[in-house]
Amino acid sequence: MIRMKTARFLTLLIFATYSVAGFSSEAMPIYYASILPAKNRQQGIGGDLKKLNIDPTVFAKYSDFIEIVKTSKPNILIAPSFFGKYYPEYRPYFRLSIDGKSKIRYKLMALNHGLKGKDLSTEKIGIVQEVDRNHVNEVVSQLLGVKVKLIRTVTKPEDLLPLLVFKSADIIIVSPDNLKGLKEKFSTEVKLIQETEEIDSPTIFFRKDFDPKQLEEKIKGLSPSVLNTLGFTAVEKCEGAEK
Amino acid sequence: MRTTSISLLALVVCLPHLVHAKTDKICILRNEGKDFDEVAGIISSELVEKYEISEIKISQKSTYNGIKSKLTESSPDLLVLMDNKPLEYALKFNSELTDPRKKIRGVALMSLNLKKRLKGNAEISGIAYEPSPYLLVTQFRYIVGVPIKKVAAFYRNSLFHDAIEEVKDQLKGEGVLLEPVNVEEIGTSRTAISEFMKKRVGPLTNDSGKSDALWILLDSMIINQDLFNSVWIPAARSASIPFITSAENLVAPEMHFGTFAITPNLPDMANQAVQQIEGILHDNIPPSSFGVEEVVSVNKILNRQRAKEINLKLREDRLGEIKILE
Repeated sequence: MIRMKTARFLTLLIFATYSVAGFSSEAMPIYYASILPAKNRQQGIGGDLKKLNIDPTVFAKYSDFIEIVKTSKPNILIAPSFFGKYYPEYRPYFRLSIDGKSKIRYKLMALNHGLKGKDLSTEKIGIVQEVDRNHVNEVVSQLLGVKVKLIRTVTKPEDLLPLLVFKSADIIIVSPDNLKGLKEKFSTEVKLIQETEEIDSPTIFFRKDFDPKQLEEKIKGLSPSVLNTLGFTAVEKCEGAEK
Repeated sequence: MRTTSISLLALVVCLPHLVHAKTDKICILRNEGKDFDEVAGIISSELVEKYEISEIKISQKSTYNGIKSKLTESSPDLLVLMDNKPLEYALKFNSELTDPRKKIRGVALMSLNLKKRLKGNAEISGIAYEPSPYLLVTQFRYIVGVPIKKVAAFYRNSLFHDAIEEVKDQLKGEGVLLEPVNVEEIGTSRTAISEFMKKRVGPLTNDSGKSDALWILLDSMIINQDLFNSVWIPAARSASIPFITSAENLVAPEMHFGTFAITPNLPDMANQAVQQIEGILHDNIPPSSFGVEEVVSVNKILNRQRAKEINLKLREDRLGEIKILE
């Protein structure tokens, strides 16, 4: 408990240090569910972004990310697209895209085809927690188009497949790139039940009271190496971003 | 007459709100200790806005009767049971109630052999403390540069038959063959098991063609002080295959013993418990629907020195989230 508190305090202190006047670096917490270890992503982008006076911190878990966001109120952050709905003080400004696509469809995977076409509302659904706990049901309902009775959340994508194997979930909801990563880690065969509606990919948000012009050019000029490390190929300005 | 009608109307309008306003009471019954503090802290902070939460810490001086009177007095809607003693007390408390409707529901965690202890229990669900060998093998396979197709394990058939069959099935889906060796082949006594182990552990761990890894099952009849010194340490000195287990101290570098271990990730285990608690109290899901779940999130620990000693090739690009002991 003490160690965890100390670690949280130190992270907060680092953010606070960069936020005070006199330092030009802009702290940028980053979180979206990824099978790529946070440590590897951090190492891969840290150096390049620091040259642009952006100080990124990649979080492995949503709970750690949101704690920092709530306490340090950063001007810029990267989060799943639905973050903006629950934190209206932030506006979506850029979407991270892969080969020109800034929308993704999550895949619903199960251990067998038996659930294809069935009423999903009675099934146990597993998903990575990418929003506050009290919003998980709403996000799942939005993705599936039905209200689900039992949802099991995990903090990391790699924990999704064990949910199926241990029968704690009948179906898991997983993004295409995380599914690819899961298949590298586990050989247990999973079947596609259906895909969700399209949703926007992870997004770069700015605080509404922050002038994005200060960082816009820097973000547009992110190197391919930084984007690749994050699992994307480009950034695209959101429609109506400047409103 | 008019006043009565207004009062009645007010009651009808307010009643559902009054009923809804009742806050469920959760009592965390637990032992003292750093890990318990951490998990209890996370559970409390996640649920404190919705529920009334109290805590009873069991010390060496605590007696069942003392705990019983506290539970009777506080009458919680749900117990969070952390460790063996609290579970034992809760099971006894429920068994003494003559009215089954008064039995307290519970969620148990950080307690050993939960699956066995809660078999057939309708009031208490839980999360197994020992991480599944399925996770142990798949996580280990991911970080090594050699195929892991066969995994051996010593086990007691009288106690672990069902668990072994379950794991066998799970690993089959991964293309891994679990080859369990029943240590009770020549008898179930401690002496018979020791004799058997002395004959079989050395040859099995030396023959790299037979198995790709050995899963050390944490069972006091299989790994205890006597056998550790007389059987396991000599076997480890000449072993050609990695020993994998779910106890961090067995992969400590100074032991020159285990290569890889997984342990439950406590914050994530607390998160798993919170979901069961919310399911039971908020969604009215019976605890038996959850049963005893496997822990899904684990910490991974690699003894790199030991890996070198047995010439085990590692995938350096996949060690990002592994705790490495040098």
